[in-house]
Amino acid sequence: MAYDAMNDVNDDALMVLYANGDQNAARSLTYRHAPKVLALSRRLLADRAEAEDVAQDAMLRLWKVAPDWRQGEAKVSTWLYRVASNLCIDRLRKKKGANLDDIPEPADDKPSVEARMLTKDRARALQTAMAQLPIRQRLAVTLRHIEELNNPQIAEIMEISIEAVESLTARGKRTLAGLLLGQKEKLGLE
Amino acid sequence: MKNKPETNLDMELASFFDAAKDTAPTPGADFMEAVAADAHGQTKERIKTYRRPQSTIHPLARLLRNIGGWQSVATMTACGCIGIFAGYSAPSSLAYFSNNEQAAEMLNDDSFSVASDIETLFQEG
Repeated sequence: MAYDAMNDVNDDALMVLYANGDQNAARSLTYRHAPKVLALSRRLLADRAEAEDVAQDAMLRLWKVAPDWRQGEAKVSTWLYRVASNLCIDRLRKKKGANLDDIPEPADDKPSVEARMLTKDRARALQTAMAQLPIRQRLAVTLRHIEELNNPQIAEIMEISIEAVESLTARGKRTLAGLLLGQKEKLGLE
Repeated sequence: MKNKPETNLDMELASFFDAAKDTAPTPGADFMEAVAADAHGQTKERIKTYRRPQSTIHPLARLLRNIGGWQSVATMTACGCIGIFAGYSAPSSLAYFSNNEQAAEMLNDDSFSVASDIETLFQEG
């Protein structure tokens, strides 16, 4: 099947096609999921090279599991987020806290230079504050408020209850507020 | 700060989260190519595994495997040795049967004459 024709094909079907050797299906899955996995990894690890390693590793695990993929059991996106989160948590535990100097420069955007600078500054401030959070709070807040997943999805990814997700995000946000709201004026928010 | 309702916190942090979403890292072409190459590599690996010829196993090794491995061969060899040993060093009780006259004598022994006794009994009524 041609790559363009796969836009409407669901992930489970793409997994079957890939398991049967269809490289266009793999390409489609890559374009659909790799950017999200990379974004999550980069937010958690605050290091581009490491995030790319983790995202590539997570995608490689997806290719390996494809022949045994059981349709309807888990969503590909949820499965990938879970694998990437676990890989990131492993790395963060080994590193014992991200190096704040490594926090990435946010990508360039289209708006005016001043607006762009403010957006970058806010993103950077958030990233710095996020680095202060315990790993699981950081993951829960990222998945909920940046990746915009709902609580049941996050609970599935983190393999915890919905109540635990709510507790983690609430505690995380309280800490973030304490760290960030004092900088509002500096960041053009007042 | 601790008792602020969730919605207030969400509103106050919204601009920070929006900024993070707006500055989402975009994957480079190299990264995307590397991921696609991994997918291709895995497919090739799978094909290689499926097509691995069975003839890489030596015929004798396959025969050995089919008859149950070295354990079976060892058991059969042991049984064979015991058979040969029994054949060459026969127990003394077997000598009795090896002599035809003695065997015939044993068959004519009283213990085998029950049938004729019963016949006699029948004839006598």
